[in-house]
Amino acid sequence: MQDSYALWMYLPGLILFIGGVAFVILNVVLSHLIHPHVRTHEKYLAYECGEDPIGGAWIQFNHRFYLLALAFVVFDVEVVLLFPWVVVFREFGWFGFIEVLVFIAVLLFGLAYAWRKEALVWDKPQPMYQAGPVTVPAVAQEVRTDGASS
Amino acid sequence: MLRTLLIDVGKALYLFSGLMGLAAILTWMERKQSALMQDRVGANRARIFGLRLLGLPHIITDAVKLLTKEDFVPAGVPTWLHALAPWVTLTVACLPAAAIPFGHVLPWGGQAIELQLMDMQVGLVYALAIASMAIYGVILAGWVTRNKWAVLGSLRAAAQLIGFGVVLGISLIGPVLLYGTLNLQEMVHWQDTTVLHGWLPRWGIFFQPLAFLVFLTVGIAETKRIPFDLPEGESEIIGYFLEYSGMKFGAFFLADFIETVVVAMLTVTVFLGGWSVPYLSADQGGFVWPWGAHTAVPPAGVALLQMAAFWVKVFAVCWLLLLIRWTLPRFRIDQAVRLGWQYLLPLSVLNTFGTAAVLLIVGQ
Amino acid sequence: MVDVWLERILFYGLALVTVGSALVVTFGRNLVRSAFALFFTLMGMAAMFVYLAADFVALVHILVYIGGILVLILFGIWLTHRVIDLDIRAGRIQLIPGLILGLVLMGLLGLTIRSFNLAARTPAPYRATASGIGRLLLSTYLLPFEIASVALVVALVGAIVIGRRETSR
Repeated sequence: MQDSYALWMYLPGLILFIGGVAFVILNVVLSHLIHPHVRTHEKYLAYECGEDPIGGAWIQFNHRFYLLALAFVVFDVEVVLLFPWVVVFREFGWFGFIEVLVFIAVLLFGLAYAWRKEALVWDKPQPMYQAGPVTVPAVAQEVRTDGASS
Repeated sequence: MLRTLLIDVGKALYLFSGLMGLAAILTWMERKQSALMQDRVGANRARIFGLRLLGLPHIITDAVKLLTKEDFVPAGVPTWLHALAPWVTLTVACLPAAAIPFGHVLPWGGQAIELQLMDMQVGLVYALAIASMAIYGVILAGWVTRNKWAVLGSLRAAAQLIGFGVVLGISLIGPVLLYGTLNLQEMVHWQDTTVLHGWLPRWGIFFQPLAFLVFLTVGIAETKRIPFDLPEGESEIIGYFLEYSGMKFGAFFLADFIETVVVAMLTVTVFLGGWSVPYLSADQGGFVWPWGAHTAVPPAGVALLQMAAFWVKVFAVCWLLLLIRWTLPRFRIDQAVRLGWQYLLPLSVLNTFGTAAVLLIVGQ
Repeated sequence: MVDVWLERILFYGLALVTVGSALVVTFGRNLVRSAFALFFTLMGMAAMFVYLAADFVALVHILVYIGGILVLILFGIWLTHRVIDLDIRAGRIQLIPGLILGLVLMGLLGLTIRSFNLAARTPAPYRATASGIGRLLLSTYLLPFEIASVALVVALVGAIVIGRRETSR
């Protein structure tokens, strides 16, 4: 029993997991039994505010998502390596403090570099118009009056 | 053997129904509280036998509505993958609660039942690790439905969750240094006493106010709610669950509120003394008031008071989170990213080393 | 006795999930599907750590590999234009190098396992693992600990340099 103690400890968590799974399955199945099934063609199209979708959903995305994810992995490893230090913090005192400070300082250098290179800064929206008094071109005025009169 | 199993099942059911019940109440509270804050009446149409009960029956009507709505899968989407995403989201949202103590011990038939599902030595890391998996429900929902809005929403959600996930971990290192343990039950025991001649409860928030603020901010970001609702901004991209209807949408909807409750539970456990009741001491057999008076409480009463105190505190934090949600407007994505990486991350690293230095100086 | 059998069933169940999903990762035709199968491989490994009473390592495994590196892989796939629906099989191109690498790795692991006398070991009682790791990390393995931070920064700086060049173009 001694060696299996560790495994039995996780049983309540497993029960909670099974409970959560059962809850969703029960609800979805129950709903499936009682909800209406009306098939129309439009309902099965991808929703784009009433327009017919053009092209696939996989368009080129901002590559900054990848840089963010990489920075995340770097700092995630940092957090993970900090936790063992935290537990034995009182045993090691100033010695451990300095060791971890060096560890973090190196990583903060990386963060500062990323900051300096604006790698973790999202592209700011650039205004499409010029500030200042707006002059409407003569052509546009024509178009507008045409539209209004017709 | 069977007795232990039954106790385990009972505890899991208690926690699960607590989570679900509180989440269901939050769906009502969100509407009623926002109405109060915006000078509206709010949900009041549903009634049982003519009783409006402040709109509370809306919880039941919502459940009935979601169950009877048509639940369709868009063309070209594998049905089982489509069903997997809400399932993963809801289950993962519930799981961190398994490490959180919702009371100390309950005396039951000459035996003491520990009021915690898993008494792990690394309970805090467990909660963080499971919370980091929440990203998969979101990614799966976006990938599988092949909708441009949903894909954009799930990418944004992923960027936001991982960005703030780092800060979530680092912001908790300060309090952990203070308590000297990763075990959530031991953290609550550390806080279950008083300082300043018995006047002030020894709660983490009084020693780590900065970590509390950072953690609460990041907690809101992790639940993907306003002001951090970029992944599901209704007015612009609707969200990663766009192609879900009926009960599957209901699962995403409920998971959002469960995440809020779980963040509140973690906040309460780490910063607000968990299940501990101020001035109530189990060793002294009752309340020990700061002015020297003593009120005796039987052991079972102590246990029940502590269990009640936990839920009261969780409810209070949920209320605070709703208050924030209905006060602030949505951040732009560049603002959210800058807040996480350039302000909260260095701030929490600073807090970690400040705390460590102070502890070392005081300790010598 | 029931305990032993339950554990054995658990072990083989976990092994089946881990190895089975790893096969899907290797031979899958759809890259995204392979990435999602990798999720189950990594989960199976985390569960195996829990089975070995190394709870902290299991959680670190989840936090770093499932919460971080797999997301990075998914982002990498997503940001690569039009790769999503391509029919890609890595096995065809790198079958021989892959086989050699796999066999070498297997041999190394086998040697490592043989260097421990597993039969002579009694099952260790459950105890906290995080503090032991912390003690070793700050004393015996201090140099690798500090070098890890340098390696992480090198990865970050490298990615930024490459990413920057793409934007300026």
